[in-house]
Amino acid sequence: MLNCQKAEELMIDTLLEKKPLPKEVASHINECQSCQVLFDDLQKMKSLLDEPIESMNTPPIWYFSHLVSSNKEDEITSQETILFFLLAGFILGIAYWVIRLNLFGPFIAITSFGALLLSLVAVSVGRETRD
Amino acid sequence: MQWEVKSRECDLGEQQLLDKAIKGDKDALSLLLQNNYQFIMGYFIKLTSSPEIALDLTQETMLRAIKKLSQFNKKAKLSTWLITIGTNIYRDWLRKEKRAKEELDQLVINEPAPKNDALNQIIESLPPEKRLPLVLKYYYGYTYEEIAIILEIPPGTVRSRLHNTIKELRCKL
Ligand SMILES: [Zn+2]
Repeated sequence: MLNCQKAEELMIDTLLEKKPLPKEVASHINECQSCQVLFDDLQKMKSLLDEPIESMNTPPIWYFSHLVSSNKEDEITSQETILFFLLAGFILGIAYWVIRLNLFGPFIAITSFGALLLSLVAVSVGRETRD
Repeated sequence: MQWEVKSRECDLGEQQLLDKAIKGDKDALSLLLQNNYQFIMGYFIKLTSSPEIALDLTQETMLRAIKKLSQFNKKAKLSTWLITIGTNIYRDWLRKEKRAKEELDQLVINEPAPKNDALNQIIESLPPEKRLPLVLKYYYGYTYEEIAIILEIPPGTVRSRLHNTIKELRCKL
């Protein structure tokens, strides 16, 4: 036989878990005045808790895209890491040979010529995109 | 629970989207955040009773999730992880709010904000340490163990705290 304390616990569990009331509790309520009062109060509480609330619309996807792109630092992918090390190796290799073969003169000449070419390319590309 | 249903419906593709998002796919991450928006928003509306505050806290939760995505444990559900982040943000907000209120109280006698419906009144009458488990249990159906993890409290205290909360609310009816 169920006592009042146990019945109370089961009624609260029923409310919290949103489960149907166990039969034994229901029959206890029928026979016990104070548990009947508690049950009515819990029903009242349940109807209050279930009152609908003002809901909000979900923003469009561009809002989330904007949040993500303005707050996520671009992570370096493994491909980019490999490229970085290849480039670093290439530069170090050139430096090594330039020093080893004492080719400072031609090296400076070639790099300045390269830089000149690059800036010419940059100017023409810039003009094209502007037009 | 409309938010819950909505988020469960999206579960099918969620794992794939998550894998992509963790690898850096921004579109996948945006979609995941959009799918979980109502879920988080509803949580904050229940906790604060204010759509405006809920909007701010939801945005802050999303931002923190974007920054901390690499720390996400793939075994957990994304929505639960977001709720955990949201809970911390809500607690930070409460602290700031308390400090601001104390400062304000020294200057003026502030009028209580108008509270309309009975539900807001009963939830707001609870202190946060009781309000949080009630919202997580009643509206979100989390188990006692899950609530203990989200709130970082011992699992044994969750059930008893909830039972006490219900008894306390009964007296206020
Ligand atoms: Zn009884």
